Amino acid sequence: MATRGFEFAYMLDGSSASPVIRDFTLGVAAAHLVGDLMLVQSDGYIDAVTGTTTEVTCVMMEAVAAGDITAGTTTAKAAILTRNQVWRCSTDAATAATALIGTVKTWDTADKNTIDADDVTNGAMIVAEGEPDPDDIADRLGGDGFVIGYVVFADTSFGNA
Amino acid sequence: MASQGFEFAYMLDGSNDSPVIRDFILGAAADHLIGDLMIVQSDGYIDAAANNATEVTCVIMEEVLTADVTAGTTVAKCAILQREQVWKCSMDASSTSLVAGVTKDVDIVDKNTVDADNAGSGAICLVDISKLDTDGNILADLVFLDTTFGNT
Repeated sequence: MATRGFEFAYMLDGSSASPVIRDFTLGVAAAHLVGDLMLVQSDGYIDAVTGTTTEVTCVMMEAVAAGDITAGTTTAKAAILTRNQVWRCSTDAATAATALIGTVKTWDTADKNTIDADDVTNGAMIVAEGEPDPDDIADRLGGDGFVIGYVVFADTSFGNA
Repeated sequence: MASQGFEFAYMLDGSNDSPVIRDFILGAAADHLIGDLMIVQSDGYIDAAANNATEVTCVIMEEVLTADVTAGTTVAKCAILQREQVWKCSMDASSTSLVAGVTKDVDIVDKNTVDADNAGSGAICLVDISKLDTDGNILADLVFLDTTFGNT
C-alpha cells in the first residue's frame, strides 16, 4: 500500500518534536485528504500543490470533502513544515533514478500526495534516506512495490526568504 | 496593552525548546528594555534595531538603563534568535494587508513594534495575525528569516 500522502517520519535534528498543527483557511472547494501537501497562496489561503512543487507550507492533518468547503472561509488542521523535519511519501515508481542522499535537492512531486520518482530537477525536496547508489533507493519499498521517499523540504514558507 | 516588545511564543518545529540566553556586549549607552530587538554590529557589540531591520541577532532579556551602560563594556542577557522560533509582538495598527506565510519582508517600526504596513524592507514572515492586543492592535506571531547565527 502506498503511504497516506506525506507522513511525518522524524526530526532531523534528533529532537523528539512533532509538527505544530494549526488551522489554515482553505482556498479551494476541493477534496483535501490527510497527507496532502499544501502551499499558501497570495490571498493567505492554502491550496493543494500540483505536479511541480518548490515552496511548501503544510500537510493536511484532517480530511475535508469538497462539499464541506466554502473557499476562503473553511479551515482545516494542517501540520506546519519546517526544514528540520523528515517526511515520508510514496513515489510513483519502483525505482527512483538518481535520488542520492543529500545531493539531490530538487526532487519534485507527481501530485499532492505522491513524489515523482524520476523528476529530480523541478522541486525542492532533499533526499534524506536511501542507499547512496546512483541507480535507485529501492530498499525503501511500499506494499505496492513503489519506492517510499524520505525527504526534507528545503523551501518552507515560514523558513525561506 | 501592547506586548513587551518581542516575546518568545513557541517553536515552529514543535519542540519544547526555549531560546538560549547569553551575555552580549552593548554597543551604545541607551535604554535597553526587555523585548528590544538587537543586531550585532561590525565591532561585535549589539545595538537596538531601528526602524529598518533585516538581519537580527537577539532580544534583550534584562533591562539596562542608559546610565548603567558603558558602551563596549557593559553586557546584558539576550535570547539568541533562530528561524525555528516563533515570536510575538504588537503591531502599530489594528489591521494589515500583509499576508501570513506570504509576505516575507515585513519590517519594524522601532525596536519593539512591528510595522503593519511596511513590507519590502524587513525580513520578518508573519505566522498568525488573527489576534489583537488590549490596545486593539494586531498581536502578531512571526518568524525571523534572517538571523545572525543562521544566515550566510
